[in-house]
Amino acid sequence: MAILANRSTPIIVQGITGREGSFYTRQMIDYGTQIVGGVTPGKGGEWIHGKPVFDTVTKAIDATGANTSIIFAPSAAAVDAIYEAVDADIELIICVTEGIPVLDMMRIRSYLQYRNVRLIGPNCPGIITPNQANLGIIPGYVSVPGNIGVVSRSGTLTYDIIYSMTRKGLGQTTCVGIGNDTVLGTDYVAILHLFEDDPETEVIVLIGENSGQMEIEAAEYIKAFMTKPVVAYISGKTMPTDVLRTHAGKTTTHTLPTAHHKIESLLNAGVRVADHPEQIPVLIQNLGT
Amino acid sequence: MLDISLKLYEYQAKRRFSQFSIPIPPGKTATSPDEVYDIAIGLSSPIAIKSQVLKDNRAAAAGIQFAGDAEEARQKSIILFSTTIHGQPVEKVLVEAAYNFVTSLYLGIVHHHRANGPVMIAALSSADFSHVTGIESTDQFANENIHPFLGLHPYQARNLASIINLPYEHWSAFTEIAINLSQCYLASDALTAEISPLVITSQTQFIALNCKMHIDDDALYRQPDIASITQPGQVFLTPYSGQTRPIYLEGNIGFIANGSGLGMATMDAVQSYGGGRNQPGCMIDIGSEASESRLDFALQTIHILPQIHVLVINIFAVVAGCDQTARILLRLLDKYPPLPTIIRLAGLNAEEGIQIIQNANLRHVTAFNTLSQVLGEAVDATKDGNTWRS
Repeated sequence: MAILANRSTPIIVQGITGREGSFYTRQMIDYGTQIVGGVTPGKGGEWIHGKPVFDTVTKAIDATGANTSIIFAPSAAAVDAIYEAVDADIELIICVTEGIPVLDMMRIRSYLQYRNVRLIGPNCPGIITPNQANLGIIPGYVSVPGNIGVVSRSGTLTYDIIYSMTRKGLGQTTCVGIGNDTVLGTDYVAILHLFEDDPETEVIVLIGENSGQMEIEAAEYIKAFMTKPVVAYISGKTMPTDVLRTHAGKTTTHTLPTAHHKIESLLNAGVRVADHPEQIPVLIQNLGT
Repeated sequence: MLDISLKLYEYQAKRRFSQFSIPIPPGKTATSPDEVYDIAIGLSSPIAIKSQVLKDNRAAAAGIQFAGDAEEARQKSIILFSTTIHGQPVEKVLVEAAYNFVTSLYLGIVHHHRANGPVMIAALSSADFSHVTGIESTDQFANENIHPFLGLHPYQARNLASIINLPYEHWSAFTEIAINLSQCYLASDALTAEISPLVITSQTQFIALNCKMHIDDDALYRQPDIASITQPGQVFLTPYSGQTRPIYLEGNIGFIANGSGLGMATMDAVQSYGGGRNQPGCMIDIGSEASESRLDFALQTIHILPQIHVLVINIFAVVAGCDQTARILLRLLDKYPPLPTIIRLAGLNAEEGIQIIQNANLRHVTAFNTLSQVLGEAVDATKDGNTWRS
C-alpha cells in the first residue's frame, strides 16, 4: 500500500517549465509516476513532455483532478506556490526548493495548522514509493519494493543508505525525505505515525543529523507509541556543538541537542542505532534474532 | 539544515533597533583615535568606547573601556585599536554615552526549535549579562511564544513583566520596547534579536546598552538595508551542516562529499576509527549533482590549507554515473600537488568508476566502493603520507 503516494496518485508540477521542473518531470514520468500536468503562470495552453501546462493551480486541478503537487521554484515564488496549492485544496505538497526564509516557513506552518493538507519540505528530495511513484528528485534506481519504511532529513546520504539496503534485498514501502530546514512542513513524528499504521511497513529506518530538536521528539514518540522496530543513524557527531550561555545572576552553559544526545534518546526508546551508515542493513537483518 | 546566519555588529544592531523606536545610547562609530575624540567631545561623560568585533564576551578581553572626558577616550581608544579580540583585530569602535543604572534586564527573541517559532525571553538581574539563548535555559526565565503573523500581543509583555517582578511603574515603557523588538525581529527576518542588558537608568529611562542580532541569510534578498551594510566575513556559519560553504575544523583531514549528511557521516566514521589522530580539518559539501565546477572549487579550497595532509572524497552517484565522476576527478586532481586522496564511489557505475581511478595508477590516489574500506587507508595516510602506498 505504501504511504502518501502510489501509482494512482494524480500529480501536478508547479514550475514545470523551469530548468529544474522540466528536468525532474522528465525523470519522474520515465519512472512511471502519474504526472497529469503542470503549472507555470503565462504558459497555460502549452505542452511539455506530453503533459498540459496551466496558468494556475485551480485550472490545473479542474482539468486533471490532481490532488498532489510538487513544487520546483525559487524561494519567493515557492512560498507563493505553496499558498496557492493550499488554497486550491491540494492534499499533499512536496516542496523541493532550497533557501526559503525561516519566517516564511513559520507563517506557512501556522497557516496549515487546521487545514487538511500535508506539506513535505522545503529543501527536501521528495518521496519515492518504489515501482509506483517518484515525487521529487530521488534517483529512482536506488529503491526497490519491500517492507521497510525510510524517513530522513538528509539528501545524498539517504540515497546511499537506501541503495545499500536495496543491494542486500532489503526493499522499501515508501522513502520520505522530510527536508533539511529549520522549520519544516512535516517532522519525523507524522511520518512515523503513518508507517506505524501502514500494514505493509514492518520496519522503519530513521536517518537524522546533529542540529535541531526533531530527532528527540521522534524518540519520545517512538518510546510512547510505536510497536514496530526502528533502526536509526544520526550523522554529525564530529560537528562542533552549539554552546550557549545563559544568565540569571550566574553563568551556566547549555548546549542544544547534539548528535550524541539524539543517539542517547533513541537508544532509550529502544531504537537500534548504527555507528556507521553501512551498519544499517546489518541491524535490520539482525532484528528478531 | 539549516540556517546560515548573518551576525550584525553591535552598532548595526543598535541602528536597526532604533529604527523601531528602541531607545539606544547616543553615539557614533569611529575608526581612529582622533575620530573618537571628535565624537566624545559631543557626549556628556561618562563615555564608553566599545570594540566592534563579532565574537561575544568583549568585557573579558578588555574590549570595552570607559572614560571621563574626550581626551581620556582618545587615549583608551589607542589601546583598543591595537588589540585583537578573540582573533579579530579591532578596526572600529562605538563611542557612546555610558550610564549608571539601577536595574538591568535581559530581553531577547530567539528561534525555539520545539515551538518552531520565535520566543521572547525576559529576565531581571543586577548581574552583568552576556547573552541568553538556548532551550533548557528558558525554564529559568519568563518566556512567551511570538505568533509569526501577529507578533507579540501587549498582554504578553505584561505577562513577562509580571513574572520577572518588574515594578509596575515600568510596565508601560517595557511593553512598548517588547512590542517594538518583536516588530523589528519579524520585519528583519531575524533569527535572534537581543537586548543584553536593557537597563533602567537613575533617571528611570530605559536604554538598550548592548544589542545583538542574527539575520537569516536566506532572506537577504528582501532585506536590502541589511544586505547593504554588511561585509563579507560577517556570515556566521552556525555549526550545522555546511550547505555550500566549507566548514573549518581543527584537524588534518579534508572531506569533500556530494551531500552534507554524507560529508558528516564520512567525517564521523573516519574520526572514530583508530581514534585521536584522525581529526577532520575541513568539510565541503559540493551539492548532490557533483558538478565539475563545484568539485574544482572544493579541491582548490582544500589544497590551499597547509594543515590538510589527507583528502577523503565521498560521492554517491545522483545525476552522473561514477565513471563520469571518476574521469572528472582525475582531470581535476592533475592540476594540484599530490595530496594522499582516498575516494569512495557508490551508486550507478561505481565499479567502472573505481576501475578508471585504479587504472590511472596514481600513487597518491585510490578508490573504493564502501566507507569501511576507506577508513583504514585514511588512517594510514595520516600516519605518514610519504610511506603510504609505497
